[in-house]
Amino acid sequence: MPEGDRGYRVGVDIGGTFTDIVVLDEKSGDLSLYKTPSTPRDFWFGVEAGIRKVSDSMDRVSMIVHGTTVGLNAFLMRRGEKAGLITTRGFRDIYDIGRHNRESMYDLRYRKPEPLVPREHRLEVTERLDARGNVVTPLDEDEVRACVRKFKAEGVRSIAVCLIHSYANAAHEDRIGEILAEEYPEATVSLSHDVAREWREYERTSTVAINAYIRPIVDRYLSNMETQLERQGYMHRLFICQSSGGVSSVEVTKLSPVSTLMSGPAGGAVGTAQVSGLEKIPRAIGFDMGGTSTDVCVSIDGNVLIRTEYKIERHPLLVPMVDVQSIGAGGGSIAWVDSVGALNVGPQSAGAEPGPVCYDKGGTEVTTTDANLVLGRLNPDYFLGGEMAVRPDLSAKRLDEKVAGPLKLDRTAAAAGILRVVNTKMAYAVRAVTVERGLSPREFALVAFGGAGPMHACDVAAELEIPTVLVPVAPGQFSALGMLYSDIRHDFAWTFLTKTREVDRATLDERFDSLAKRAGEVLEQEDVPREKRRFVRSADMRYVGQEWSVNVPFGEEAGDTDWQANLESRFHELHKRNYGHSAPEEPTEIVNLRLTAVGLVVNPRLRELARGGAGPEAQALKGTRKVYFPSLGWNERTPIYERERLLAGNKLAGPAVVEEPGSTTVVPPGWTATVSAYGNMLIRKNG
Amino acid sequence: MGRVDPVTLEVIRNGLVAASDEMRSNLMRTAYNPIIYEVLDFSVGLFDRDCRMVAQAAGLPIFLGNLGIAVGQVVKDVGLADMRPGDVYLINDPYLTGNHVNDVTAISPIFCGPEVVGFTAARAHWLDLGGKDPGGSTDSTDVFQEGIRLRSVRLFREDRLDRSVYRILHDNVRYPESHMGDLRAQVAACRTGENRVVELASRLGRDVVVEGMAELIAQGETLARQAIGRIPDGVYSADTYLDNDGVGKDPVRIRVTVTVDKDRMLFDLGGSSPAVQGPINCGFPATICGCRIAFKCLTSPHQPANEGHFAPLEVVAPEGSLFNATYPASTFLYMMSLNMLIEAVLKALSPALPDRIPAGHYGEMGGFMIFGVNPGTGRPYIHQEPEGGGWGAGAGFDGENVMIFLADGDTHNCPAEIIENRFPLRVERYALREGSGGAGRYRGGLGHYRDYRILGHDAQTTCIMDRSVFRPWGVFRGHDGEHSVVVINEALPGARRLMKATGHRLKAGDVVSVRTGGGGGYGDPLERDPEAVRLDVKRDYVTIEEARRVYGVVVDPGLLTVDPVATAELRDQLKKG
Repeated sequence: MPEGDRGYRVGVDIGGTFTDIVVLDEKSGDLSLYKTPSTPRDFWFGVEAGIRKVSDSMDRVSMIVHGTTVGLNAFLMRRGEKAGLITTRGFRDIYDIGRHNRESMYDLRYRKPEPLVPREHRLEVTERLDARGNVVTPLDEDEVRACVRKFKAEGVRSIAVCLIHSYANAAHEDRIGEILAEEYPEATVSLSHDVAREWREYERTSTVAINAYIRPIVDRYLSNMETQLERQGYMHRLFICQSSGGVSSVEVTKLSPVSTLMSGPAGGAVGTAQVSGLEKIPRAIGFDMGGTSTDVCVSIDGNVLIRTEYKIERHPLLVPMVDVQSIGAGGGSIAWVDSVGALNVGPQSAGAEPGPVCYDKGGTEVTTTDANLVLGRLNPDYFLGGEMAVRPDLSAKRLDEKVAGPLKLDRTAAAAGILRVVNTKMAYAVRAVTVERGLSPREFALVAFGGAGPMHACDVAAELEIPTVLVPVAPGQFSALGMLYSDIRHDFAWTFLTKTREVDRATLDERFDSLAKRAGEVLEQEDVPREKRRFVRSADMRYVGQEWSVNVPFGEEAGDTDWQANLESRFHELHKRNYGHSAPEEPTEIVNLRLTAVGLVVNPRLRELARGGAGPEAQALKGTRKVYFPSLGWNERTPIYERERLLAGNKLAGPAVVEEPGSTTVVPPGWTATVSAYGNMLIRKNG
Repeated sequence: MGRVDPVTLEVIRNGLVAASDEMRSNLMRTAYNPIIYEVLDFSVGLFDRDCRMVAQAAGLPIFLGNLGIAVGQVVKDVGLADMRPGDVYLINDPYLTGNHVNDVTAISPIFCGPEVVGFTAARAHWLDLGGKDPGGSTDSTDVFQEGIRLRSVRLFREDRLDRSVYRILHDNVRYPESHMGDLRAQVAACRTGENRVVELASRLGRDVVVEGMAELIAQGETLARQAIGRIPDGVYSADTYLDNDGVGKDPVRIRVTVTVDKDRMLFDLGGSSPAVQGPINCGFPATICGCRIAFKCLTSPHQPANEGHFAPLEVVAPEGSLFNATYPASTFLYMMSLNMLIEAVLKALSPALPDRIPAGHYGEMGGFMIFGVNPGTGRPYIHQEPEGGGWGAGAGFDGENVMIFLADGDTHNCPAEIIENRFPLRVERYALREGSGGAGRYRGGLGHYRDYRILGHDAQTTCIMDRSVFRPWGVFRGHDGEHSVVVINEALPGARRLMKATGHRLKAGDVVSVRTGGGGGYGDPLERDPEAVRLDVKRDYVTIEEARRVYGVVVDPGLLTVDPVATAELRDQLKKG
């Protein structure tokens, strides 16, 4: 558990192409950023090289936080372990039947998500509980042993168990776990109530099956990493990013790797909340525009919105994640003219290979990046800080051929048109994310990061009438930076269906206490001191008869005789915000109890910038170039600034471009950027 | 190229789609009635000033493409000259606008300055309109038993609610609080759409938006014509039957003749049954909707549609027939016929498009319910949901197991764990129904078993199963799938098999097994890859005996391996015999 002032804190975010490493000196607040090619076979070399740049010795590193996509990739590539499933008799096909819906309604060849465990490895045992958890039929233990024999014969070594109503009573699942441990100690076992103690058998089965599917792979990867770190002299605990935006120790992660699947966007979301808090912005939309997609999240009063379930490639997961919506538009999105002469951008992407035309790696499809380059918004000599050569001439040629020609537009109009279409799409998508949650985008600031975010942010904000854009420090490595601000976090849920007015407080407290006890044990294991522990209770509630529920903070007031009324009034209020109406006279019910256990990590502070004048420093200006802006046309002498050389208080009036190795910020005419004390750029619409 | 530049046109396209999506999320968020936000029984859309749909966000496919007819009817009834900004009109007439009286549509004109530039509409399913039974009847024989009809009734005049109309509605439906709440949500959705279009027009110019709408429709039409061009010209027809209309006992004939002529299509429903006594009749607008679903599956399944996408389709149905039922025919269960109609169109075109059209699916409307009085609470309950079933196999793929029927879409089943928390029932099995998929080179998907035990009380069940006469069909020598059936207390004395039943009595401890049909097979089973048959055996989809008898594949019962020599011999023999 880091104290927060002694050494280096390191964030390592391994992406498909690049590994981002952020090293923060806890004492000085100095930040060092590294980007190295990902070395999938022995990624440690990249990490080590980064850390070596700031410290000769690993013993000065106080905390390493790691975001990994190993589990996600095993799932996406379907390269997981051969997994088996044990269910209640009569229910092995739940995993195939699913919720029987068809998302693509007119598709005669629609396929449901294919189960990760084929039918021959889905076995049933005789046992049954009722909805209250009472035993209707006892567990037939001999049948469990028969399952073991079958799994052994089939070479199945990772086993998921999901029994009907196990959220209400875990005894049968636990007993199966014991028998499997005795009879088949070399297998790993995932019990559904350990991974997600929530009702709805298909969703819970899917969650525990994915866990079993990726667990051996994640386990091997993390064990290997720990060994290497130890060999290098790292003496502390390794923390792993979770989809919820929190971090957990390696030990905990190994048991439930399913909770890391969507940790990719979590770092950026936590960073959005942190940086908007630092700059005193109460409501922020995170806008992370990368190569193939743009991730959008919402932060209110320093808290990222979390959802308690989601789907990945249509496979449901009952684990919390930061509420991120992914839009299929990014720097690599392909512009194309269809058979009726309409201009489309995306959803196909040129990705990193072959990438945009300008990469000269065989790409022939014009992308958003090519349009930015042709319009002078991107600097051909400064890709990745000048480490990558690009060919604007190739972009121009393909643009003429594929877009301008067919649409009978000139090259500039075609390129500007591509950007307008992609910005319109993104603006509507951001709008949908807010209005679907009962929020209005105008009340938010846009926090822009990712390689392409700061280049498009002002145009997208203008579409949405958002007056403020914030470009944080290190927008190109913002996910890795955000990880350093993550608290240790564990989420526990327990389905407990009861009418709010028919349950007594002691019963609920008993359940919350039992969750807290379990949570405390985990924090203890992670050496979180008692004074740093926080337990946050909440309840999923709804009107009796409704399907969807709303997560409501649970009052901690001891001896509150009006707790039911208070809880209900908080529910009505949230229901009104989310759905536009509430029905205070209607009875309510509780569906799930939730407990979030937090181990507070001392937030490191970034070093403040030296203060400069209001006008930008002369040394920051690195030149001018011709850049196209829709409202001005070609602007011959657009000033180009080097971000690193800007000082606090500097104001840059648009049109202007700010460059740094990982990203480019475009300040359009009518907008002014101000550099804050912490080096973040706040870009505001004039007037 | 049109008069609006291609970039602005994309801005308009995205703007209209986003506006209809926002109407959708607005309606879903603010609706009271779970059938709207859970079963998605609603539809919203934007229309140009000629009542042509320019963007639509549908909950269910069944609402695709007949909202515009409702808008047109209102304009015809009221007259543009008499419309004012802020007006809202209601219409639910099944013969003029589809689909049954429960589908209530709110329609508003969109004004930019003094001129109407378009319309916005929000349709939602109301559980009750004051018919003879709460929620609707499976045996109604005229519209008066189904509820009140509204035709272009003005609810708001220049943003002012007409209280007389409101009181008529309020006092003539069974759940007024919920329906008046939904009505407010529908009006709010219309307002949202209106505001977004006005905003777009103020940014881009009114004429640009009006012109843009027309161009988007023209583009849709071109796309659809290009897609029809990929279907071989010809006249194709198919016949099929429903077991009965729910009231009488006779099979009900459905016939469709499809003409593909270069870049246009005609669906002629002449030769189908006359309108029937039971509630499975379709008003002509409902029929158009069903035809458009089939047409969309064939032409542009993945694109958002506008009116232009349907311009090359013509639909003909004789007046007074099942598919052009007239006042006062009952229509509550129109979906039974419509589902079969959609499949009949696909069946007709199957020989022309062997690579694209799969075999028949279980095709049930999935009507099944259990109701009674919960002994724990003393309160009445009803458990009701559509059941999924097996889908047809196609060129290169086996049919999908247990999925919701064609005319329905993103509808979810209810988990056993939720059913058992709510109702005095125990789900004893929810599993694939082995052997239900039709055999074929590609095998039909499997239906399901869902077995309910009635706990501690007597209850009743109502079910509407069909297709025992014309089972889910196989194509190109593929076999038919099994049809759906409800079995009560199998293997016990007094066991019953039900197809259609209303309020069939059940005793405590009875087990009701809902067994849904499988999909049809595609191609000759003797040509199925033996490895696929082996896997089917390993997965218990087919037995070793069936593998041998139907597929001609000899699988070793112990090792579960294929004997290639014996298989080749057996297949030769079977082909000859």
